[in-house]
Amino acid sequence: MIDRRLLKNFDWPLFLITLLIALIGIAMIYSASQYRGQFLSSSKLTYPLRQLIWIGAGLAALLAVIVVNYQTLIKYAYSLYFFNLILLILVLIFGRVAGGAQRWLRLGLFSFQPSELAKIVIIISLARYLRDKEAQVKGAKGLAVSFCLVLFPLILILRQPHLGTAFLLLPILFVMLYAAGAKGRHLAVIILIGLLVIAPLGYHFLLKDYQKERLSVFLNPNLDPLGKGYSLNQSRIAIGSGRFWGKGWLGGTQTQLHFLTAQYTDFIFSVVGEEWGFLGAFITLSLYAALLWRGMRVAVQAKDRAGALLAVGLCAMIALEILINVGMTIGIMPVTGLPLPLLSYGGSSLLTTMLSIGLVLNIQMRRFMF
Amino acid sequence: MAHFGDGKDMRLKNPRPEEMEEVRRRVKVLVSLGILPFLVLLSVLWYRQVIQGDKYKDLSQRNYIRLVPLRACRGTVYDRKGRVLADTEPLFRIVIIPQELRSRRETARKLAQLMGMEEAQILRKLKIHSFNPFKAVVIKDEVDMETVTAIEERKRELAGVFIQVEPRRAYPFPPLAGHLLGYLGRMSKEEIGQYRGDELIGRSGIEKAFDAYLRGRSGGREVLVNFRGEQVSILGEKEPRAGNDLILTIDKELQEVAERSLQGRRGAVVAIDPENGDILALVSSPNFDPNIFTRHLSRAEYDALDSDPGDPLVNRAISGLYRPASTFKIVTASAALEKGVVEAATCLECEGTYLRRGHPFRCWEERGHGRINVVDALAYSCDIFFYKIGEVLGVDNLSYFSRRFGLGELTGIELPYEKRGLVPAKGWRRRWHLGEIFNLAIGQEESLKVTPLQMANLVAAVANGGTLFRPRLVKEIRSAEGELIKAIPVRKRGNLPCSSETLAAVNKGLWEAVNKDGGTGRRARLASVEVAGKTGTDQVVRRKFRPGEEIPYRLRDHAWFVAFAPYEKPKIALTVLIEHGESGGRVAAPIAREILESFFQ
Repeated sequence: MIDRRLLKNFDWPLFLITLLIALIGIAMIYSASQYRGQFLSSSKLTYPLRQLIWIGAGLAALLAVIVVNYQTLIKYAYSLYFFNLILLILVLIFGRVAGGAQRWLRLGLFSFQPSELAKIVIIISLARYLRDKEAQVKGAKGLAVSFCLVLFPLILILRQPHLGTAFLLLPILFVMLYAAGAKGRHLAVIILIGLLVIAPLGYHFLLKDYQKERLSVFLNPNLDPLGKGYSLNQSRIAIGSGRFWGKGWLGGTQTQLHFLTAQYTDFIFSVVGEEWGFLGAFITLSLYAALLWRGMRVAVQAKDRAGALLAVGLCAMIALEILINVGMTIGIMPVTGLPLPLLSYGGSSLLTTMLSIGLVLNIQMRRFMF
Repeated sequence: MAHFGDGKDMRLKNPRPEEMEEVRRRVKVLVSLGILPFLVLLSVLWYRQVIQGDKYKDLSQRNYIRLVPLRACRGTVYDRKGRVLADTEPLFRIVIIPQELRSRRETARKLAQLMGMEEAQILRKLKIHSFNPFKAVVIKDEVDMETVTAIEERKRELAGVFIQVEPRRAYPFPPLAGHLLGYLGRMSKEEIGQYRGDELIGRSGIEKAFDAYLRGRSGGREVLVNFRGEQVSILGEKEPRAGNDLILTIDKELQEVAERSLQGRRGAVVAIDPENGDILALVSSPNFDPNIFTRHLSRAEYDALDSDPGDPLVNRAISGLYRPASTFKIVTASAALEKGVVEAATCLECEGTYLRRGHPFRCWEERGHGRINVVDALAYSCDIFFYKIGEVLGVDNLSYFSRRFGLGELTGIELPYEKRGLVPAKGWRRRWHLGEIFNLAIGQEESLKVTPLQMANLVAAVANGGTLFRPRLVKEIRSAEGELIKAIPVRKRGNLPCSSETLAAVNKGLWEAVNKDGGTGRRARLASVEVAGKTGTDQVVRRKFRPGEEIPYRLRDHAWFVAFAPYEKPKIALTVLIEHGESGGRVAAPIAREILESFFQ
């Protein structure tokens, strides 16, 4: 099934950049989890080691997804879609509640977040739909159907609730619609209406109180500097105080004295900014940019619409996650609870990202195969 | 190209080139659009880390570095014999750090039991102050040793409860020397900028005048803390330096006796060593307990003190202004002798009434004193004698001598809020009526005002043969280790403009006033020591009261008595002033006697 032509087209730079970022993540997680007392029972290596295992698992997933021709996935896209909807419903019924949200589904030894998988499945489904309905995309019907494809899982994810992921889906949809040939004018109108009408309504009817608080605190972090605004302020201080060269690995006071919250998960970039300064942040963002550039290159070189759209969708997902997360740590985006792909501690996010990159590699490998 | 588009499978395998072209073009547009947000992120990072980096560096330091002030002990104040008048005691304070609490209610309940407080009271304090859960909330200040021990014993059950110790000013014998020592008050915002750390500052008395010596230097500890505010390590420490000690010229025993003798009255006592101007006692009554100011004085308590009709916060000895009345005759007599108006033996006639330009001017002794010389005139306090010499002397001379005797000027005592008093000059009135000159000569003139301290200093100068000293209150300043920092020398202000003969005659008059039968100061006579003195009665209202009539308190005359002893070699000069005491001879003189008796015991 794997022939030499496939290997010849393996995008090594994309793969290696992925690995490099993940390894930087290990270093950062190591530093961020030094604070003793926080983890009395665990050794200093617990968190980095666990992350290493997740990276291994991610690589396995990446290789596994390479083996299957992405066109097979496209073919079964709708089945996957419905399967995923069922999972999303199941999680609402049987899911494990943690931190006020029901996001986790237990599978034997492991728990995983169906909403993470949902992102990829929705992108595959959209790629499939947009490949088929090239002409309709230019009209209302195509737009409406694509929108509905996103809407059902989105509502289910909002119910968990998982605000970050839910709202990630809409921009991904718009990017894919645009790539698929939708009229720019149409998209602009929809986005405008969305912002003016649906957002205020959603704010009132869909958001829970804590989510509203997060938004208002984002707009004015000094509202409650020791309470809800605390994480934002401390993150900003961490990054700012890193200055150009940073305080050095393991030398960040905000990190080591634990003024940061969620510092090895959602706020891992604050650790980068504090300990490695602007230089480290710049290099990290550059690596991400390089990764995305390689990914978009795959989209450009893809042999068919499905591949191109799939690659665009996946890159958009990763890019948005990076922008939202980094934007949050430097205080220009609200706190959404989205991890930083490849860098944040946590298996679900890592697996999803590795899986996505595997898909992109998959498309690149098969660009000359007909 | 249409033949490619007619089947799904065909499309899968063979996309139309122009269809892919469109997708590729759009992907490229997306890539270029995607550059923008990355640039935004980088510029915000640049702004925060490079442009505002120093500000955030500072903020992060403020996060993890805490400056814990270490209060310096204020210097101890001793009397002339090394007895403590003011020192420092440990202050125990119970605080709660809300973050460390296991159970708010439970802890509050236990603590309330131990401290005899209400549970609700503790909970309320916690609620008001716990917006920052890492900051200590003061539950109770000034906790006694017993409670501290009790809490210490049950420390394990009381997680989150801490005992803080701080040095606090204490005056062990309140209200002893309250005015003299003064009190401390909280600093204003501007003052806090001037001195770091310590929040109390001397507000009056010695505490204010010598604050710079007493204060010491607060130290501080730079502590590395984690997000809970827990100390991780100590980065640096500056030991506090205790303030300097003061050795006063005050004699604690005499001060006690003088204060006791004024109990229940309004007035002042000043005792001075005539040989060097050392203040032996300085009393103002009513008194106050200076300790209350180092505790948390409530607004109501302060207002009560402040609006007390007895003005307990005013130090009458240095800021109370009164007419010297007959005690001023010392000045008039000296001036007349010095100017040759009379000689010691010159006798003038007193018939009880002195008719001048058709006006009768009366002596307090209606029957008159007959022919009387200056010594007897002082002894019996004859008014008409002094009218006569006063008329000859005139305002200029009286004014000049008053000033040379130290009136109308600050004595220079090292206490804040001293008043300079008032000595009239001729130019103050376009024309001095005879009655006004007469009043000036006997010290009843409206524009003549003195403090008890000025009178004591004056008497000391008369007693010691004419040397006017600047009163000295602090003898030595020593470091906490006992090393001499500064010795304050005896300072002369000048000499009285009088010959020794003049002073001998005046002193004789003062001796007779006490020791001669019928002398106005006879109630100050002591068997063991020869006392000399002069009475004075400052007429509060110019009005005759019928005999036996009850005079309202505020209309009663002020009573003076100035004295020195022993007559031959004076060791103490004394002023007693009793507000509304009615009579110098009957009220002030016995008090002076009491004080002198104890002094010579």
